[in-house]
Amino acid sequence: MSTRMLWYKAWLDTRWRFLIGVGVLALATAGCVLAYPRVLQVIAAVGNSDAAVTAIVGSSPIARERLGLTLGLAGTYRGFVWSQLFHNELPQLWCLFAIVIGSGGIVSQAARGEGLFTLSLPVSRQQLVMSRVGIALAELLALAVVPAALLPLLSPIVDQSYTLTDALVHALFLFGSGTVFFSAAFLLSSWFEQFWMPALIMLAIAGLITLARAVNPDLARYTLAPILSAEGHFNGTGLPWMGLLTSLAVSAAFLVLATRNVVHRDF
Amino acid sequence: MPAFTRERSVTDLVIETEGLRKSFAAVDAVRGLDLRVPAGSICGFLGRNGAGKTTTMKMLLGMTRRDAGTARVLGMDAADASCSVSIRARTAFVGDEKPLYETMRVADLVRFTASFFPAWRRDLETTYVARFDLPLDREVRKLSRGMRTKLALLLALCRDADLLMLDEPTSGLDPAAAEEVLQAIVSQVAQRRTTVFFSSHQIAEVEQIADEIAIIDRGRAVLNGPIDDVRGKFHRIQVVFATDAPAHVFITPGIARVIRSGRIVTLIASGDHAPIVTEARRLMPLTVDVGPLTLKDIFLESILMEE
Repeated sequence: MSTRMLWYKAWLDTRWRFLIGVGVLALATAGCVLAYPRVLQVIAAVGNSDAAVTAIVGSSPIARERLGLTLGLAGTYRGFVWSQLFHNELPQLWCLFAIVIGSGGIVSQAARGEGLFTLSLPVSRQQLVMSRVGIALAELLALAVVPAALLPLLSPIVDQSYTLTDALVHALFLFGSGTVFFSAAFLLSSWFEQFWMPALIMLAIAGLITLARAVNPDLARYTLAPILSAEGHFNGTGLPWMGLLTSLAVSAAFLVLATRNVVHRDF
Repeated sequence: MPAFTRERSVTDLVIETEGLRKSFAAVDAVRGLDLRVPAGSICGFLGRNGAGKTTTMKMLLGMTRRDAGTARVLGMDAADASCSVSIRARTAFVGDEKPLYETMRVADLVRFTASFFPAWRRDLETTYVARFDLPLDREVRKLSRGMRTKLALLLALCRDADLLMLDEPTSGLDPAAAEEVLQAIVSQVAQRRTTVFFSSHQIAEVEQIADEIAIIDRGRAVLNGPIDDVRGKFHRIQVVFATDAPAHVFITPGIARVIRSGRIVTLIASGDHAPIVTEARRLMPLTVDVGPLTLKDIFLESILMEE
C-alpha cells in the first residue's frame, strides 16, 4: 500500500509535465500526418525545376542536397513520416520532455521544504528514488508509444497507411536510447537543489550538439540521433542494437549514481 | 558544564546521543552533543537560533548523517539506513516550516500518510479533523498557517507513534491555536505514554507541558534532565549590605555568576547553594535571600555560563 502511494506521489509530481508532453507530441504527430497531402502538392509543384529549388533554398549546394534528400524521402509516406517525425520532431520534443520529467525530485523538494515530509516517512531513500524513476520511465514510454500508435490510426484520414509494428519499433528505440537524457537530468537533479538547473545544463548540452551537427553534418553519426530515429530500421540496414544497449547501459549507470547521491546526501 | 541526568537504564531512554557531531563546510552545527530523553517524557529542547536543534533532529531521523559520535533512537542506531526506516515507522516528525504536499487536498494527504502507518488511528483522525475544524476538500497550499500546523499535528498524532519529534510546533500560531496544539500533545502523552521531544523558543510553553528539558548552545548540551531537578539546582542568592557591597571574591564552588549593583550582590548558584550562603553571611550583610530561578533565567544563565 505504502509503495503504491509513493508511486502515486511520483505521478502527482510529474503528471502535468507528462500530460503536456503527450499533448504536444500527439499534436506534432497529427500535424505531420495531416500535412502530407499539402507536401505532395509541393513536391509536384517543385518537380525537377531548378528555379523552384533555388527559390526555396538558394544556391547553396549543401542546402540543395538536403532539400533533394527531404523531397526524395517525402516521395513515400513512410519516408515522409520518418524524415519529419522519427528523424526530427519526435526525438527533439521527446528528449525535451525527458529532460523536464527527469528534473526535480527529492533534492529540490527538500530545498523547498516539502521533501522533509517525504523523508520523515518510513521508506528508504532507494524506494523514493525507484518510485520516481519507475513512474518517469512509464511516462516516457507512453510519450514514445502514444504518438507512434496514433500514426496507424490517423493515416487513413489522408488515404495512407502506416504499420503499427513499424511505429512501435521507432517508439521503442526512441524510448530506449532517449532515456539517457532523462537519466542525465535525473543525475544532475541529485546534485542541484534548483529545479531548473539540470534542465538548463541539459538543454545547453543539447544545443551544443545541435550546433556542432549544423556545422559538420558528419558528426551526426557520433551522436544518439541515428539510434533515436532507428535510421537503420528505416533504410533497411538493421536495427542499431549496439547503440541501444550502450545507451541503456549509460542510463543505468547514471541512475545508479543518482541513487547513490540521494542515499548519501544530507537533507 | 552542569549536566543533571537521572540514572536510567539504556532501555528507558528513547533518545540517547553521545559526542554527536555534525559540520557543514566550515560551520560546526553540532559539537559533541550528549543528550538523554527518557521514555514517556515530554522533553523541551531549547536553544538559540542556530544552536543545532534542527540538525540534531534531522540526525536522529536519519535525514542528515553524523560526522562522529553515536545517536540511538528507540534503541536503534539512527545512522544505520535500515534502522532509520524503523525509527521513522515509530516516530512522528513535524518540521519547523510544517512541510506538507502543497497540491494535495487535505483528505488525500491524510489518506496518503495513513498508508505508511499500519497502526493509523482512524478514531483519532475523526476526532482531530472535527476538533481542528480541518477542511478536507481544501488544497494544503490554501490552508492558513494555523490550519497547516494543525494538519501537520493530526498527521503526526494519528500514526500512533512511540515518539513525537516536533520542531517548533507552535511557531507562528496565535495563543489560542498554540494552546490547542499543546493540549493535543499533552492528551496524546496522557493516553498513550508517547515520548515527546519538541524544540521551542517559547520557554513558557516548555514550562507548561515539559517534564524534561535539554538546553543546547552552539551544538552542545548545556543542560539536560528532569525540569524539577534543573529548577532545584539553580538559585538566585541576593545579598544586601548596609553600604556598598565589599569587593569580595567568592570562592565557593557552584557560583555561576556574580552581579554587583551598589549595596546588592546577586549570586547565581548552579549547585548546592548552602555553602555559598554561608560564605555570604561571613561578610555581615543585612539580608541574604535565596530564591528559585525561572526557567527563562536558567536558560539564559546556562548560555552565559557556556560563553
